[in-house]
Amino acid sequence: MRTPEPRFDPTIHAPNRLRICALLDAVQSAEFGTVQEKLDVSASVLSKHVAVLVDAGYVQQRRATRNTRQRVWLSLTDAGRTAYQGHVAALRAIVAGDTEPFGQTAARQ
Amino acid sequence: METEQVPLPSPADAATALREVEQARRALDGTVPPWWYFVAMATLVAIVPTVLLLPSSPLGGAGGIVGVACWTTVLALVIRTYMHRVGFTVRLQRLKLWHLAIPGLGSGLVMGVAVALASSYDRWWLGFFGSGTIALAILVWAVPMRRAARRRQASCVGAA
Repeated sequence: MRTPEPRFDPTIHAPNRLRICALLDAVQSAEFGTVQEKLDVSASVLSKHVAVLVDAGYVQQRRATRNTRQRVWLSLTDAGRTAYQGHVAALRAIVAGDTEPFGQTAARQ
Repeated sequence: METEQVPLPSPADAATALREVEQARRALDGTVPPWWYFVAMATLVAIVPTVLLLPSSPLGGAGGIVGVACWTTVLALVIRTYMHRVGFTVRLQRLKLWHLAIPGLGSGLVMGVAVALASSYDRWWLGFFGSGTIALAILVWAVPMRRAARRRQASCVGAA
């Protein structure tokens, strides 16, 4: 498996967004309610952070109807998965004491 | 566009963030697969040799095609219902290949031998003996799998 390039991403780094990305990276897709329950966050908080990740192109939403109720399924896009894995690599590098390669990327637009 | 410089986290903050990442990644490990899923899969496997009972005629061939189509539809429905029930779909890349390859090859071998014996000796029930063995293995495997998921669930709750 290719090692991701360390790249600190301020969009992902917000605590709840990092947890959302971590959970979504472990699966192909997850239902909104499941993510909410497993991360123990309110629907409004999750919606807000998912909206930011969708705007950044990191998460995509798919609507599916089940038992006449509409459910939203969330998944990481390829860009989102790459950004998340790069961010985790950057965090590991920081813990290891190496902050040089990715300091410039810590800019939020 | 406005650009805001965000300071990098300290090593301690980064370590905390990595711990949160690990907890979030494990949040789904404690999902206990429902019993009906294993029963449905075992039943679907057990009925596979029914195809041996079809007459070798055009009507039997048509029946076989319809049967395979129905079987595939039911299999897809079971998997779809399972995914909706647990609330996530598995990422295949994350599964180690041997997790799928060893049971798949083993089941294929048992089924192949059973069907070959059933055809050679003209004993249709030998095919069901093979599929029944695999179905039983699925049901037996469900017990430790569900138990391990419950243990992970308990450890997740304990860690929260």
